[in-house]
Amino acid sequence: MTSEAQAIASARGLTKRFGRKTVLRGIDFTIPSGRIYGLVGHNGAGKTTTLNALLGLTDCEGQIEVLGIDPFKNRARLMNDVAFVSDVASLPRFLKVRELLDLVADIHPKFDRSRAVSFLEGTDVMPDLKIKTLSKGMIAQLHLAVVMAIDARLLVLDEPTLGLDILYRKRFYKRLIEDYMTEHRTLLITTHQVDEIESLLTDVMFMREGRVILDAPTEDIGHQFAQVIVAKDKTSEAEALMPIYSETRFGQTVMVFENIPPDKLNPLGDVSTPSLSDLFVALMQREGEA
Amino acid sequence: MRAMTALIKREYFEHRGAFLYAPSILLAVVAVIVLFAILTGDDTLDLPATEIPSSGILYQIAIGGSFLLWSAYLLIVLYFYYADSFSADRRNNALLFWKSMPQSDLKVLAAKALAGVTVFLWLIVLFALLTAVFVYAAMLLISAQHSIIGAPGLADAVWSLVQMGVVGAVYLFLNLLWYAPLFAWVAGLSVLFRRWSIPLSLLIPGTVVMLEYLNSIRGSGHGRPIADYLSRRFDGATDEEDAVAILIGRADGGPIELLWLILRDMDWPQMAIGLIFAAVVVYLASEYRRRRIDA
Repeated sequence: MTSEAQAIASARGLTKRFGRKTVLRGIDFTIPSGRIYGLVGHNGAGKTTTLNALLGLTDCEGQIEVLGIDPFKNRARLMNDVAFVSDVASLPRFLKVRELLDLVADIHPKFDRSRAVSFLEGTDVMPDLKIKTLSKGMIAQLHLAVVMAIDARLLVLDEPTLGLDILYRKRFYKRLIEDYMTEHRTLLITTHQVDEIESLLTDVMFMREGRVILDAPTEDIGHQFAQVIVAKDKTSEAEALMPIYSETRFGQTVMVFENIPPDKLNPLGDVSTPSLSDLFVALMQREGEA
Repeated sequence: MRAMTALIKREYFEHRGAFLYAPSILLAVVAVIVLFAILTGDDTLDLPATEIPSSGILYQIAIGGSFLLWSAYLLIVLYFYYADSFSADRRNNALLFWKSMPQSDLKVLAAKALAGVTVFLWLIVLFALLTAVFVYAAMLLISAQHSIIGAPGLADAVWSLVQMGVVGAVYLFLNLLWYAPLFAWVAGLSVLFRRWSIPLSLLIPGTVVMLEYLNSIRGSGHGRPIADYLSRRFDGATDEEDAVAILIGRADGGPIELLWLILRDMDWPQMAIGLIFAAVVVYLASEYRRRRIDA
């Protein structure tokens, strides 16, 4: 079986325009099954539009397939196998928790009500509470319980923890990874808080101004990129290797290099793999200068 | 079918205030006022016995009146319901949640459209029947005070209630179908203009009729077909004169004849045209909603 055949989603030349503004500029990507994909970019980079295209919420030029079907033409069918959390505040506020679970049980054939109830055990989310009376954190817990009780093959989370305090954010991701992820499921997350999910991700895609500027497994990032805290007397040697990014932190010069063999970097100072947030900043700056 | 039922149930959850709580309060308030009036009012009545219909006819009129009043309530509240419900998911920021469910936009809007002729209709029929039961209780109380006014026996009252209940429910149902294009019109506008749909639903045809009128007084010779058509549609589904005559006992017949009259006098071709218009509007609204993702 080819990797294309195993892909949960793929796009070729995906383009989206809103009037004169081009939001996606012919992007290509393939998301394999069983991975945890992080989609990272500034506001307006095209992340949400990409997700919307994947979820069949918006029509685009180019080709896009999710689970082998055109998402925009078959959104309702697609949602049998795809779950998404677009915004923690998007649950219907007029319902009670129990009513929400009852309705979703009747509307979604792959929703397991008892599983959702078990996810809510030990939380403050009580069945007879109205959703509008829940705190933002409790709504996030409820929404996560609902999507985790859906036997979906792809789960898409668009800024799922926006506005939540750090305790809820940690609990949210812990629950997701421990109770939901299996090798048959794929998770696609966008967030501004890259540091929080860095350890979860198997793949990362950076976007800038409607283009994909990096699409790689996180395990390959260490092979492709290196961060060096440059020794004071090695600065000019390091600069000769054309770092993609350079900054001074607490009096130390930190540089990020791409595709430079370790034997050339090791003599320059302390070499490590850049964190995703450092790499993101480095690549954004490089692209900005390009 | 299970999903459609759940989607209609969702409409009930969202709008039970208008179709369950408000009518309950209304009925309770009226009941308290009427009971207060009966129990504390003047116990002398100076009516000649010949002016009072028989207790059976009186109760039949009361049931008919109950259905007519609740019919007016249902039509008004449904107008506001349709002006809101088609855009409610965007207003309350839940659009994306519902779009994450494996149900098409057409099915979601169809459920909203059908809620009016199913769950909300049944609730109002229930309130009309409860009102009729209360009226019977009130008649018993009055008859105990004034021998001049009687109340039908329990068996007769129940039989009357069953028969008139069927007639009333059919009348309400057909009325809703008759006014379906009006509801679809305001619902369709709400998808585009949200809360402005109510004034626009009146302003647009009002403007067209006014322009037609201005054109007609200039002597175009074309008459006022649009105004005439709209006026005919607003007149209601049936000619009610004969039905009222039966209801108040001035013409021969009972509930079965009443039902037959309602069905016979219905303008079925216009009913079909209206329903096709409503279906087209719901479809177009669903296609628009399919392309909307903003809250």
